[in-house]
Amino acid sequence: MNQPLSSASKPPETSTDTTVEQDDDLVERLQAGDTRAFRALFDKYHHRAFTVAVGVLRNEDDALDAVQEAFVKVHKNIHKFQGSSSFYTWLYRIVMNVSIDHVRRAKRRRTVDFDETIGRDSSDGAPSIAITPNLINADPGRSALRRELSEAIAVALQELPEHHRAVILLREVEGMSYEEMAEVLEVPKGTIMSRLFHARKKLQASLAPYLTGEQAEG
Amino acid sequence: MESVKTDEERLQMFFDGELDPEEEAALRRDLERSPEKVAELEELERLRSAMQEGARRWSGTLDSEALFARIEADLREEQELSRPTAESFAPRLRVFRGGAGRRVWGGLAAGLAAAAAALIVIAIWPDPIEPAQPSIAEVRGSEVVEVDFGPNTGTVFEVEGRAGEPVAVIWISDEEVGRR
Repeated sequence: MNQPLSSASKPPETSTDTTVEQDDDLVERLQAGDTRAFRALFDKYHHRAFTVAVGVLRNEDDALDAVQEAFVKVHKNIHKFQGSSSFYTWLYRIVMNVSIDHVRRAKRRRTVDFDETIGRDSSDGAPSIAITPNLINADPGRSALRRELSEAIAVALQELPEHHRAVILLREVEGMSYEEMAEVLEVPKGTIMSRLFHARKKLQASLAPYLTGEQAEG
Repeated sequence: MESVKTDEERLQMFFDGELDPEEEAALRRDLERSPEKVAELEELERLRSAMQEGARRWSGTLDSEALFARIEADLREEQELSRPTAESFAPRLRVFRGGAGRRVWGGLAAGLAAAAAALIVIAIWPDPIEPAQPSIAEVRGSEVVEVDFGPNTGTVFEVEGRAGEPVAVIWISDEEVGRR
């Protein structure tokens, strides 16, 4: 039976025991002043940090700034890191805090309506229109359709409050557990569950044309 | 009886692998009889796939080396800022005995130009009372060990001489910080 009867579609793995051990070693070396350890931690996590930051900020330049700021904070404060949580969740807490700060600062100083640029592909400048039903289930090799989907997700994410955006990204893109998300976002696990539930409901509503399964099944 | 919302939340927890084994087994059995819940799980799965697909697209343009270079530049800049600069170099006259550290600005400069060579003044006092600078409170003797006020070249200081007389010192050059 082709049904997701378990927690089937696993998001990317996060903190395995081996990863945590490797991180502990790198953190220890960095705390002792080994700059190569900093580079190793950067290499390991910057791409994922950037992905989450783009998801929250919806702007690559802002996301680059946020990741840059986050890693500078990591370097400056690594001596304060005691290992009570994993490096991974500590880093993501910094990335999230920096990203959400960026969002709030941008909201305060915003003078243009960013909505007009959201969902627009920089290569052709065309707005996202003509959403094809069941796009996910259409030919996955068609990059134009994928781009449309990506744009539709961007728009849908933009409509979420940032704390909903954060939780859905950490779960679906980063594959964090509720426990890890609670640590990163510094809220109770119940709050995580509630935010995730509502974020998913909102995204499902926004992306309904893509997510309906009727034609896919038929 | 569970509310619809609680049921949905349980389904979400199942989808996220957050139910304990017993609850998960119970839900699996439930799913066999509930095509609606299966459909809901499939939709959650499509949402996840869509999010992951979107994330792959928007993170594909990252220039890692350029980003690391920016971080390194930031860290270098912070290190530079944390170093003492000429502006942050506070003038210090390391002289002991009450009143010995008073700075006299102007006035005496012309008449005491001849004393310009005396960049470092040594005066031995048998019983220092209070240091002008707390950091050297433990130094014994009334010795002017160093007159060090960097960018304040030209400033006139007054210190006490051997017999307690006032002696003016004019600082001529930062390069001749006295160590005798």
